[in-house]
Amino acid sequence: MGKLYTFLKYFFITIWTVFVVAPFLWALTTSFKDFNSVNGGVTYIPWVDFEPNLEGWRVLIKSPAQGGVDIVEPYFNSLFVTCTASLISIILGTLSAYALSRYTFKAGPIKNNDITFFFISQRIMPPIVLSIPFFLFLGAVNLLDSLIGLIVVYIVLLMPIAVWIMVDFFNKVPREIDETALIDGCNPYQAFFKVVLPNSIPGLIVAGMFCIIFGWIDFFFAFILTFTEVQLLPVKIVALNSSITPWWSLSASALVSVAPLIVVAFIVERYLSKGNLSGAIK
Amino acid sequence: MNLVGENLSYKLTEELQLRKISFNFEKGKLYTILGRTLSGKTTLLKTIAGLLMPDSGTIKFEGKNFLEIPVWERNIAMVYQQFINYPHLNVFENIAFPLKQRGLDPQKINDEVFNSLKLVGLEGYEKRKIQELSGGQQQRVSVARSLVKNAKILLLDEPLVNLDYKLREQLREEFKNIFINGFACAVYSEYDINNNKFLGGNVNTCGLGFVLGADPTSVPPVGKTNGAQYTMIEDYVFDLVDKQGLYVRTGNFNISQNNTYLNVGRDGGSSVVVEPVIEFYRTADSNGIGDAGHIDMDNNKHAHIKSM
Repeated sequence: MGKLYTFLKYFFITIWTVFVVAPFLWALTTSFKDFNSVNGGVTYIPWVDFEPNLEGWRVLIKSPAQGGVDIVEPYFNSLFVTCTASLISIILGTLSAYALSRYTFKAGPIKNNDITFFFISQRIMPPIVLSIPFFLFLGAVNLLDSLIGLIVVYIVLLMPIAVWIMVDFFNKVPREIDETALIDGCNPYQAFFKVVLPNSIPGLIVAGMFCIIFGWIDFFFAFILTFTEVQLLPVKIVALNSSITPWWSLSASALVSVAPLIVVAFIVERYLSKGNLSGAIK
Repeated sequence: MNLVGENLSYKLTEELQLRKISFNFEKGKLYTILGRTLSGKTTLLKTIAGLLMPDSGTIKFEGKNFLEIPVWERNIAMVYQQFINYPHLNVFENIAFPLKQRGLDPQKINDEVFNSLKLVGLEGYEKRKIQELSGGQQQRVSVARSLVKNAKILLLDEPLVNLDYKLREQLREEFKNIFINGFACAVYSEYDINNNKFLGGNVNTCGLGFVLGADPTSVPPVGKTNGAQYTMIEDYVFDLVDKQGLYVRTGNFNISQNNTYLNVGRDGGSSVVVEPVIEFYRTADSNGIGDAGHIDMDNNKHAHIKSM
């Protein structure tokens, strides 16, 4: 029984791992191939099956005039928009989450949980529903096709994630810690910044990482709200896909665009399971 | 100066509320609040601390209206049942936190912290993380953090309830020394009467009080306050007569009416009797069964046992 279980466990884990990793491996090998290797049948192992070269990667940083695809500018656009929007979302989201967790709000039948749900409900709607109002709004304030406009939209999209995660996290931080801080001479702001926030760093990191992931992979709004001036990475890569860009540089650009998320995934994985509050309350 | 509360009412839920609580705590004495779950012990402590704003009533301390002073300026120390510490700080930083908050100079903070570490028997642990300490040690850290503040009002919310027997005895001794040396006005709320023995029996300055629970059929036992003895008598039921006094609904009890400040609710609400020197004794009932023998009233209208 035990052996069979172990066998099945590793069997399915192996299958799943192959399933997940294979596309990456495919993209990785393809990115080092040239025309002949790609079209000459299925090959996997560099130097044995095919002769690797860096042409696919070189093309990424060359300007279109030199026959490249110039992924650098969209890359930094994406980094800038994602990081700025995530940072602002985390700051605003954490403050709202703390308020929602600790104070009682009431407006008729609307209470704290309803407000929290209101934040999350932004993510329940299909993006296409939001796209038209966003488009009209950005058009009205003259922010279409600009980085600032994208940041504004992304804050609307990312803040619910931050609020959602942080409300849950603050609810798990015992209220008595805040009260003790008040009794020890902190005003409510000091209690938040000196006591509650330092104990919420794992939550902040998780929320931040989720914001970065969702901001980074968004294609829809980046596609709809930009035209020529500003281009984000997902849009750029899709554009490459539909052009005459060769497979090897397409693979390389895909890998480059996934790279930050792999880093983020490792950080999230480390903090997701880590509780830092065991000493607060016994 | 006294800590005076008048007609404090606070409604948290239907079951849990304070109903017109009045008290007069004198400096240098230790007051005990007893009561069952949901009788409002912690609610009363939090109201005194300022964490809860009473719906009506006043609290005065040193002649000032306490309700107008925010929690963080009240100079109160409170020890929670769940031993709250700051998990992101080590033992030293935990105890130093309230002093740093006051902006004392580092040398003084250092001295004070080490003094209080010594007091609770945690010398050598100052660099430890809170999570590395045992439950009892964590509780001692939170006690030390309360003591280091030299607060004028010390509130203890069942600080011994989570500890094992041996540690409880040990901490009880430490508490006793602290209370004798200090001038704190302390409220100690714990249902387990055994934990309060020293408060009733061994500390001269202490007093006794009661919280009657939502279910008034079980009132904590009662003891003598000014001698070495503590008498536990069970199954008391009190009932409300008027604002001035109490009478005993079942059994035969006498209490000194002049010293009750309090309302005792019978309608399911939590109520409090807090009184420094009042003593309740059960006199012999019609069958001649009684714990306390004769009851005499002294000049101050305090009831005393003549013979046990």
